[in-house]
Amino acid sequence: MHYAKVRLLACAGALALAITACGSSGGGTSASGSVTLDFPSWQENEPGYAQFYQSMISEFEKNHKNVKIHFYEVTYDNYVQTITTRMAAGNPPDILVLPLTSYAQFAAQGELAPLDSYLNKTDILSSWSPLQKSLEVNGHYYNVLMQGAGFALYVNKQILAAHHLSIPTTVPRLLSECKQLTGSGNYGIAMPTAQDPSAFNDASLFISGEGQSVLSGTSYDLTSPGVESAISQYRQLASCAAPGLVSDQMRQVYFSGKAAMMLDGTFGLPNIETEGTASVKKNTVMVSFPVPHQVSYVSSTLSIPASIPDSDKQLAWDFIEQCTTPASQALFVKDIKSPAPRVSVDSSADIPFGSVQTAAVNGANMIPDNPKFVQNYTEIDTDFGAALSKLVASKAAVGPVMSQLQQQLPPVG
Amino acid sequence: MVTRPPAGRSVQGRRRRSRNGSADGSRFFYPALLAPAVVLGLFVIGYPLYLIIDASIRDVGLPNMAALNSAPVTGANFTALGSDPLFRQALWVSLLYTLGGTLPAFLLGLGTALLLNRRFPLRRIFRTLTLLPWAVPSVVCSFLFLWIVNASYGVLNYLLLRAHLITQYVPWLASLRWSIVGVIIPTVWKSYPFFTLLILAALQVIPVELYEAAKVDGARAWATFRRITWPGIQNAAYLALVLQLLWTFREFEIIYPITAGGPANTTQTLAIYLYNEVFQFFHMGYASALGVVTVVICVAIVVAMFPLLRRTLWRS
Repeated sequence: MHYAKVRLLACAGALALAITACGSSGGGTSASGSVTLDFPSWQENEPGYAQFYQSMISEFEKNHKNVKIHFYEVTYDNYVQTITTRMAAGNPPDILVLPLTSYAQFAAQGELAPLDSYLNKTDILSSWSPLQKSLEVNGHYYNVLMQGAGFALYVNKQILAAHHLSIPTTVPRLLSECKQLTGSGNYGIAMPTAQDPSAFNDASLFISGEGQSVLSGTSYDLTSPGVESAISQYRQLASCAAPGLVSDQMRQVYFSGKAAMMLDGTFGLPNIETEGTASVKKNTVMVSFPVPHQVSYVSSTLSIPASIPDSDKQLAWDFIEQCTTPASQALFVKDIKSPAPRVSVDSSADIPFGSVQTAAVNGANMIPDNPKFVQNYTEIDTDFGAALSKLVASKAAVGPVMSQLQQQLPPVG
Repeated sequence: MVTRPPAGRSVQGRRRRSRNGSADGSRFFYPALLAPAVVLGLFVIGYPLYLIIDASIRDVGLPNMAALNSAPVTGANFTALGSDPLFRQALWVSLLYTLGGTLPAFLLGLGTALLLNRRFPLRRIFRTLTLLPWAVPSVVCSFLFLWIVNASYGVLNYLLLRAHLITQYVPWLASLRWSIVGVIIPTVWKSYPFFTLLILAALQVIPVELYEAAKVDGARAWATFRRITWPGIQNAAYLALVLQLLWTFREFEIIYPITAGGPANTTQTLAIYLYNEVFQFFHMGYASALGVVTVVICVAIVVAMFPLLRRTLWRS
């Protein structure tokens, strides 16, 4: 009897040990009082971004002796999922870089700390790109714009010259030239043609670029003649691209010289430098996408989780504020070769195709000024992507597809 | 007159009772040995299941466990399922994908098992090669086929064109009609060795004498298969079918890297839909309701197959 009890206790003890071993201790403050701020980012390994943030971290750590920043890569494909999981587990990072798809969603869910009190002590709201205003969620700012982006047309001059074509300056001419250039394994344009997260962006380029809007007041307006015409243009252009490609694959098509032109964000130049063939690198020029109105969008923001300790919030803000100083913004332009969000930092002369990039980044925001639209952006983007992929992959008429999409989208009124 | 058992048997009986713990008070020993497994099982299976059911009846957005208890209780997640066309489409795609991915894999597995059960040179090497796809991680398999079925540069299109089976390259993964085939092909390739393995193991315990007797009696190949081979392997085949049906129904790792559910949601199974609802749209409550429905369907598959399993496995 006694022996049985001992064995029972031994089993229970082993179980308790096993469960205890499964747990883990976290926290950013060590016993010696030093603090480590957790900063995952998909940009950690990207040309330009890595250099910029490493410089920022070095300077920050020099000014904060007991603070280290752990900057590491989480790939873009897994980034939002990783952050979401960590938020759910109550263990968010200390500094968050968020993409267009989720900055408003996290804010609306109460997962981000309001930054108004910090921002009011700086000149950010008065001296930042107009895109910063679009980051307001329920009357508060939870994000600081770190990069705005626009659309650009990357053109391989050599391919156009071989076909006696010039750089298109209107959408009809772009469509015409792309049709001429497509065939025998070559394509007029490289753009996403699978169900891709950037589908809404690309369609918005045509819609907003033609002066149309997906919203009329507080309801969708996807069946108006203007929007349907813009979507038809998008579809015609997609028919000149390799089918079934997502963003990364379509870039490879252009980098390999199989496509004469590429529709991508203004941030695409460093990738061409690192991945393009010698011929593509030499012959690529970036021009404004030939729509009447240039279109911009939020590319990335910095923010602070609501659930971290106040002392860590202050340190995280110190880091964000450091990234916004004029000197840091000048470094941003130098490293990333993209216009800085601080408008007083003139980048036109310092970056390749500076005037094209600046015009694109200063274009109208493609996201309508509607809080519910912004908060439901990911869902809208996904539903748009499904509808657009249906149009690209079939001969379905634009009107019924857009009408069905309109009924399916989450309400914005 | 009372017949006493022999003294030796009586001692053995006492000793047996003592060992199994029913007579000396140590009857808790075996349950105690099982307890860690039971507790861990409840912890890693029961608790998440409880959380999913709890979240499915709450109006909760981001999957934040701390906020779960304070979220209001609602039945809206389940009522919304009834009017959601994407749910109906995902359910249909799941069924199509499950049957399309399992039945060809079963036939292929059965065929290769019968082949590999025969004697021929280098049989061991072929057995190993046949089982290799099962060892390939699903994500690796996905990326492999992503390039094989690529519309512009894929080897599949090249071979079909050279064989004059198609007249122009087919955009397998971009086509509304063919995209489901584009994700079924890697699923079949990845899962058929599982059938091969189980059926081959069953084939090897069928006595050779039965085949020799059938040959003497002049039985044809089909009769031999139907009367000797199939009865010998059906237990393993049914079990493998049920397991593979359940695994394929919940499959995520192969589909997501290839199509992410597109184009136009034509490859969006319940698993992909659920993932998007949680991690992209932050609809934890609705996604949990989808999860509960998925579990119910899986249980229904097992219940539907139960008579078959009972007849075969239990009998054996």
